[in-house]
Amino acid sequence: MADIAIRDVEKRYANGAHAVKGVSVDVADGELLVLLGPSGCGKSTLLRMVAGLETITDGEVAIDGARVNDVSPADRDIAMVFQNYALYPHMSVFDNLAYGLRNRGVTKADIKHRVDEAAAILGIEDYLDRRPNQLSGGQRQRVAMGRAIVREPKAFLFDEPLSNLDAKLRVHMRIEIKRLQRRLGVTSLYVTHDQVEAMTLGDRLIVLNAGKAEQIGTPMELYENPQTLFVAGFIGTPAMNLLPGKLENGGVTFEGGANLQLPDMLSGKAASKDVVLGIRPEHLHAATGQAEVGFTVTTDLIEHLGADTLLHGRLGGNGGPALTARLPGKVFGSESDRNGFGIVPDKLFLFDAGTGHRI
Amino acid sequence: MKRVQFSGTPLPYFFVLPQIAIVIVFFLWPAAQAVYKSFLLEDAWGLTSQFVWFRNYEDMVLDADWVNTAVFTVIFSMIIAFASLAIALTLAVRANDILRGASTYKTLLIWTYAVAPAVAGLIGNLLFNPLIGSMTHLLHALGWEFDRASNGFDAAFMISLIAVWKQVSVNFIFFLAGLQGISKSVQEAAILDCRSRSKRFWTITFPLLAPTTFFLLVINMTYAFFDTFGIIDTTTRGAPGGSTQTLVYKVYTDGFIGADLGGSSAQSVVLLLMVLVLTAFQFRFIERKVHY
Repeated sequence: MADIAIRDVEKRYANGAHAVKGVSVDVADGELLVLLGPSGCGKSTLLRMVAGLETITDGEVAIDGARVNDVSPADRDIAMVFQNYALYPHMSVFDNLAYGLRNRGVTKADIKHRVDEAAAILGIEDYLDRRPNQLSGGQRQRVAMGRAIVREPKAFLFDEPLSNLDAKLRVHMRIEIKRLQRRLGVTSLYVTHDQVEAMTLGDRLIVLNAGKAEQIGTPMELYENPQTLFVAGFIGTPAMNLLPGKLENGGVTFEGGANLQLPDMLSGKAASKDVVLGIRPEHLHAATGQAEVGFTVTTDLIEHLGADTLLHGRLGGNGGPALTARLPGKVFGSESDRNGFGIVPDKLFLFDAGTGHRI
Repeated sequence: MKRVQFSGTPLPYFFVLPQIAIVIVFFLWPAAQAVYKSFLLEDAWGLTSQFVWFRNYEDMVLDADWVNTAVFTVIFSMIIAFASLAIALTLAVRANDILRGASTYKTLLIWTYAVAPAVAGLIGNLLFNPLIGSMTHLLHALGWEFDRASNGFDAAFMISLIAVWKQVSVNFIFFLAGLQGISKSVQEAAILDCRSRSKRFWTITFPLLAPTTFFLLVINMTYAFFDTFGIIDTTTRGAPGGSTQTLVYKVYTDGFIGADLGGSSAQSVVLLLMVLVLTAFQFRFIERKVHY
């Protein structure tokens, strides 16, 4: 078990592509850090650099305090779980688990003991004699996990391990991975583009965008306090409403002419005229006429999800920016009855449209 | 596979008729002729023939020449198959790792495939010419008194080299395709599990290439048995003293030059059986160890 330090890591490919642009993050001993971002953001590249499958152009990766930039992947004492499992198709499940141990000179009896133990943890004892092509997706996923566990490595690296599973199994395996990681207490890096997976699994998240770290923090910090427009839009389902507008006389004027008066604490700090107002759909509620920021919205669609109801509409009528509200429980009445919304002022997020930073 | 039952209609047979006709005219009929002729003894002009049962086979097996040729053919084929597979696999593994200029290497390695065996033989003749051949000079310079005209081993070395050179390209293409078919993440998982590059090759890459290797083994044995005819005919013609003569070449010389059609037919029947047994053996025993 160990901590991982990633310092100013850069990746430039021979063809000039700049995949990772100076990312720094420390992963504490036993922590699960999720690398989250859309495809092409450099999250997998970063993970592969920690694994040693990609060379590090610049910066440093240290595992357990020791710089590993020039250490071969097999000597870094890490184990990786791949997206498509990457099981050895010509070996039985037992041999798949044992392969890495045999190459490290572990004794036969010890290998048997460790494989049996891992198989018991994952519930794959009955499949040890089978070949990977005789297993289902979920079983293969477990074998891939088992191959990482038996190694008893300093760190686990997960590269989108659940994206090949169907939705139901994905939720199930997500919980299993979380439990397993807690139980074993192994430092882990977990790459995903699925923000729900990231929120539920991660002790902390690093959100990457175009090779740069946008924000690092616990899931709730990122949710409650997004520092950039990108993080605000990426974290949370349904996504945060991002309404571009102009800052005038302490209020924001939106396309279509609608105007919203902002509390002083927000409008006072803005340096730019072009801003984006962020509102989480779940922070909106039906207008109460109390001390709050009120909106008039033309609702044109109501979606009943059972536990919640989504209301889609346009702020200030036709021509205004699109807005989604999420109200708890069942909402009665038709679209035309739902026009007034309110929000507590400190749930409003204001971003600079030019830099994308929080104001 | 889906099985379809046609009942009471001759239509399906009509559709496969062209294929059946080709098989009958170009394979079954000549093969039957060969079997029939192998029981006959003809006079030198082919005017009379006599049914002699298995005498041609008896003569063949008792003939020290034939036995020597059979032994040479088996050794020659195994050397060619092994050498061309080993060289092609090495080249394919190396070429697969190259990032820059990969297509240039591949093209250079593949294009000898386009050379016909007879043309390869002619090129070999020139390279190994006793007076002006650059390979002859090179071998002399290395201290080997290379003499393809009178030394059987030297002549066999020459035709083996030409045959392997020509076959490597075919094997290379298949091995390269096989290597590219191995999942990249499986190879990466192996990199994390095993430090030694050579051990990784023998425990992961080579077993995963087994289907390709097995297929190529069959192809290469057949090539060494039959397709080296053109090379031998344009270079040594079996000389010196029949020491570079393969079974196929002996069928040709005995039958068409020696005009012993009965003996030649008996040889070709035996050859046919040998190939059948070899192929059956390969499928039965080697294929079992192959993971598809």
